[in-house]
Amino acid sequence: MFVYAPWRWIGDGCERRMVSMTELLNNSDIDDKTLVARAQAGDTKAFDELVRRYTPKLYGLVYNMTSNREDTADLLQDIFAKAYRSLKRFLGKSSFYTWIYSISVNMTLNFLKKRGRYSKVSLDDVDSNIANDPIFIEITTSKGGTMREVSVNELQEKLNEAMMKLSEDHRTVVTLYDIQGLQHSEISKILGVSEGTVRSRLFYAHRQLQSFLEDYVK
Amino acid sequence: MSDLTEIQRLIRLKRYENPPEDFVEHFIENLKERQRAEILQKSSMELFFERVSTYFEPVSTPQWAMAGGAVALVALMLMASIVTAPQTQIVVQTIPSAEPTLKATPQIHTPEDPNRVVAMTKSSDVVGPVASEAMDFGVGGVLIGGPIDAPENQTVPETQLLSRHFNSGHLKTAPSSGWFDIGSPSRDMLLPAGYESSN
Repeated sequence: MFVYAPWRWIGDGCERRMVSMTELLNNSDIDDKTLVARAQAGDTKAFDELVRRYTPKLYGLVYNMTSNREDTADLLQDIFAKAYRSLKRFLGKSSFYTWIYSISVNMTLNFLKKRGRYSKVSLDDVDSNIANDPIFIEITTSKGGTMREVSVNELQEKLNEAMMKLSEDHRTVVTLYDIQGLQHSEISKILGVSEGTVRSRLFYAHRQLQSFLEDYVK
Repeated sequence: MSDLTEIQRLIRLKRYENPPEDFVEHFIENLKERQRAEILQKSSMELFFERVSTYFEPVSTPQWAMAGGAVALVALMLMASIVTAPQTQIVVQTIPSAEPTLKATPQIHTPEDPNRVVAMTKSSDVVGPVASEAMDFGVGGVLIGGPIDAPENQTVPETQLLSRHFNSGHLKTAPSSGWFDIGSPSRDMLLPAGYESSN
């Protein structure tokens, strides 16, 4: 827990030592709860650390729902600006993680409704590490051991196309579960729906994706 | 392995789509600049309304709680408007000659427009004890149902008049809200007990 003192004793018994404030304030080692408390007290650096910590995760969420990197960057700014304005109202009943994800999902869904169905696709570069991914190797290798004519960019476009054919609700659960690796319980808290609903949406989304991507799974 | 599991593995490849490495640091800088610019560009009223709208936005508050709050706010506003509404007052005029006459007509002046005189009922319609009291008193008693110890042209609060009248048991019905619109009086409301309207 953060202590408002120039120094404090840490450790036990003979290992006690005095640590400086700078050591205590190494933000990357501080948990979300402490950072939130400090940000609520007016520490902008604590909020910066929260932004630094959650930007990659939230970027993935928004990007995979919008399929447009410029929109993602703009929307992410709106999300953090709103989170900053609303931070005083965050009472800590849920984790900051759930709270900021809820804001992101709600704002992204609102944005998608306003944007409409048709939009320009603008995709990020694919990390070159994908070539070493066993799944990628598996799908780009035919059963006879020869390489299929599937480029990374082609696969990216196909996956993106399939994702954009899903409804917004289905795309959200696929993004959170399959791409971001969240648990059903976490997704249900973020979306404010039951776990059963999350599982149901995932099931139907996977079935739709199967029909869109059947060339890659057979 | 089932096809659905294969699909999940395939979709997970989207994890490899990432923004440039320096994206996060640039993003934080841009966010700070934007916040500063917002504070400078927006007027204090805009910032205030933005804060208010942010407060009421359902970030984590259930929708039903928001709806309940809105209903409570409307109810409070209604109550406040009822409590603070100006009370109508009745100016009782007495006729200097004070001749007992059944043709005398009660006159009520509304405080908003002193020249506006509202005739409440014909004195000839009034029978029974109220009529006799009216004759004794002159004019005002037709409505009031009893003598009023008020000097000439004194403004008497309506509630005082009505409570006196109701206590005397002369009215058939009492207004539920404790006061009524003096500009459009209900005839039946002002009739004495035992009197039946011809309508």
